[in-house]
Amino acid sequence: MKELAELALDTAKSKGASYADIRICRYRDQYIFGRDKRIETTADTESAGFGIRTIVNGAWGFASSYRLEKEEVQRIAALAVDVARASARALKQPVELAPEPAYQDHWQTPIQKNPFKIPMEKKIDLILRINEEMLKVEGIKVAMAFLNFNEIWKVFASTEGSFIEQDLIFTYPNFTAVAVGAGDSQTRSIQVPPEQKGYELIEAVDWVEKARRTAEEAVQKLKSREVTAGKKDLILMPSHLCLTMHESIGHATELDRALGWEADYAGTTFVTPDKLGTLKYGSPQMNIIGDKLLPGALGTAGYDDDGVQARRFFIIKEGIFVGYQTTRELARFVKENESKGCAYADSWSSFPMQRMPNIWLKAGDKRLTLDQLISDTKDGLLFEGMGSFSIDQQRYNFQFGGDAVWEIKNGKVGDMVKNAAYQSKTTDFWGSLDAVCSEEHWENWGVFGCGKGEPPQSARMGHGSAPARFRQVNIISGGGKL
Amino acid sequence: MILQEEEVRSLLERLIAESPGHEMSVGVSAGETGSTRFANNAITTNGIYNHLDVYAEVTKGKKRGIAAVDELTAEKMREAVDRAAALADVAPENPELMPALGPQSYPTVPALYFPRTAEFSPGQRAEAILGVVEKAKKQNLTAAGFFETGHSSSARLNSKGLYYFFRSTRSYYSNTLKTEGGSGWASAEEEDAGRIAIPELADRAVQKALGSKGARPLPAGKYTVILEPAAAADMVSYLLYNFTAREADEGRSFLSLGDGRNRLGEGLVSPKVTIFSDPASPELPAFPVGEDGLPARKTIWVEKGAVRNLIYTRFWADKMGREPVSFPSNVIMEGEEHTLEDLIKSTERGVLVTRFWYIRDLNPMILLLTGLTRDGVFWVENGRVSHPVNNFRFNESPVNVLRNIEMMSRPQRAVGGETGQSAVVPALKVKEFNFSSVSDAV
Repeated sequence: MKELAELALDTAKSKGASYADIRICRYRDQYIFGRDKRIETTADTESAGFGIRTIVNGAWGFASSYRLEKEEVQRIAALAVDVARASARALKQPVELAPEPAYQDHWQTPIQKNPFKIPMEKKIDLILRINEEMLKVEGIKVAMAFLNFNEIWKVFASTEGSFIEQDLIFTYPNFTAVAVGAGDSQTRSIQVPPEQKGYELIEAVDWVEKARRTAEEAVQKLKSREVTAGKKDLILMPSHLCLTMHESIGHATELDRALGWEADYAGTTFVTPDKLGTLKYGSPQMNIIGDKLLPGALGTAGYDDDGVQARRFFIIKEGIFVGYQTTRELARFVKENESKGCAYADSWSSFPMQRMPNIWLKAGDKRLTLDQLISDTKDGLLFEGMGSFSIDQQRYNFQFGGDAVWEIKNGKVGDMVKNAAYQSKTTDFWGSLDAVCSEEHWENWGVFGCGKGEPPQSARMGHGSAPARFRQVNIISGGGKL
Repeated sequence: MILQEEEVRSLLERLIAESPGHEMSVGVSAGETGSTRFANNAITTNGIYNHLDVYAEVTKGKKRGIAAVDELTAEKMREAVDRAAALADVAPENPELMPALGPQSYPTVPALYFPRTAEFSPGQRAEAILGVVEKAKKQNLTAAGFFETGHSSSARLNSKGLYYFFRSTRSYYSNTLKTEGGSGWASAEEEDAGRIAIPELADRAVQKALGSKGARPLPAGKYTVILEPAAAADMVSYLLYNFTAREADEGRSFLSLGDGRNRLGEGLVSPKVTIFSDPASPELPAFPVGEDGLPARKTIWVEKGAVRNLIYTRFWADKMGREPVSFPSNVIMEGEEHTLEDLIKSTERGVLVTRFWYIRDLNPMILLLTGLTRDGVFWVENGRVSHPVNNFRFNESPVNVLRNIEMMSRPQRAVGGETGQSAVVPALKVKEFNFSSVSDAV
């Protein structure tokens, strides 16, 4: 492998590249899906290849191939140089990479049980048992479940002398009960986060108990009344807050968006570089960390796809925006001398771009339990799990639903309500954050398929938090008749 | 890598022949795409991307396993077959698994493969983008965008003799031009890169960007809207992608009528509306292949407002005693003999929408969607575009949109701002469209 990497880098240099790197990757994906009492899909797929990135005359070039052979490596390296030359014709500012030491290292997800070594029969049996349990509950029309296991093995080598090998494992379980009756249909999903862990994640959960409770809650949701629109205090559980953080903070604080590099697709951001260090993003309770070191989180790695060692940094400190997510190429645009380590490519055939690391909300410093937070809330709603989500192209106006929503009346959790969603503006919403539960309630959630870029790439990242309260947020109802 | 049909077919045949007695299906898809991205009036990334997927499905009775690899060698493909067979051994019986189909006859469709698109170079893309950047600079705008050209091939053979091989090319171009307080967008997708009129798409985005500068505030509420084809394409596509019979019969969709019944045959939207799919459409040709290799033919989904067809998988069709109907091969909606300008002229007070963005469903029982306007929203008064207004979030169902149509233009091929896929649709003038809040985004 090292020989092929060196051949690629030498070829690129000899053709005129001032910098080159190669990623040689192998991806394995195991996916088992069951509906009701049958298994619809048992799939085990793999994809392997390499991508070579070059800089020529200050411009990027990239080419990739699945044929890992000497001649092909040379051909692709030369092609990446040619592509860079074509790009250099419409160049405004030459690419400059922030300095980073060269590393020779190996990093792997610390797992206890490799999910690919667990017999398929065991996984199939688990899915069928869960579906069977959900279908026992009267009112459940459909039970759906999947288990998804990913392995990413990748080597990064650069003309600066790095040679880094990484082996990452991800486990993603998901189960949904669908209740149908009285002209309506509602779903409820099992609340277990995907993580960068092995099969131990699956074995740590009492799935049958969770399946039964989830199905019962789907039926409760079906029978519940429509939410009443208006202003409410919200208590958002970590399983829900995950996606709200992802959309309203994660994407908003990407430096490539702030610089206009995503303008044609996902958009730009209201968090422009002139606001760095001064923008009041939220209340003083808001502390947001960018982080590729967090154990078990979906965005954790030893190194990013620029070969930058994983690190941790503040994005928002006591409500003030203090740091963008950056790559080696981006750092200088905010006058920083080193990358924050946020480069990622979703395949050997993808060009690395700035992607979110794990982005999480720090737990409150003072002891505050969920019970205490609920007791202190007179008229509110508690959101758990992810529902509908949508946000504008500059990350101002958003709307989020939940997987399950309960009323809070006079300090107590009451009935479930359905078709609830909240609309707000990012800084108003985070400005209304007035309490975050303490450390013992902090949970590590994440997003398994975040799209960005042209051509589109998918990425995983963690978003942990403790339950948090937001005051007087605008609730809308998604109910009604045709 | 361009697959040669003879080579691929003989490889697939050999694999099938090596496993007599197995019910199996083997296939290959491969392609190469070149794409160039630009922003702030300069190229940012430029690359050539290859893909190859070789897959094997092995079926044993009612049990099936699927495996995929990405090497086109007999040895690696055999490995995929072995892995799929091992998965089929451990899979439980799936009572819904349908038997494999035999040889099929596919309708002839217009050309999907254009050599000049397959051979399009990074230099040609850069050349086209330089022209856009020059236009942007002249107007003191910044241009961002994406230009992609590529080719792909797809082949499949099963042990009952079903076989197909198709090649296609695709080119996609999108540009967003921005100025302080204004933004414009235009996009196109074609099988033949030579049909993408990049200077015109740049001009359209320039006009939108300059025209949307200085937006005046307009409160949320229900308005008559004129949806340009890119916005209409998203609404019609979301409707059609949810036209699934099983969900409707199971009581889980806006097409459910309860007690296992659905709205097939019933009036759903305005009698003005007819929507169909046709892979042989000259405006929007498509692969003529549906579920499990069934031929895809012209399917009328909505005729004069009534539901004429729903998507029936092979299993569900069998269970319900009907013919299977595959997922829409494309989206085509009939229009009226008007222009977009006619729609504007006929409007006393309304909102002109260029495109939508970030559409997600909120309630499947009424197909309630939420999303936002983007890249040009304009107030129309007394038959003319008066001034730009702020962006909005909408909470609305495409069913209501198609119920409330007042007037339509002639249909044209347009790329949906959210789906990124082409559809042939008219611009729509629609009453009482629900904008639920205002967005500050530009």
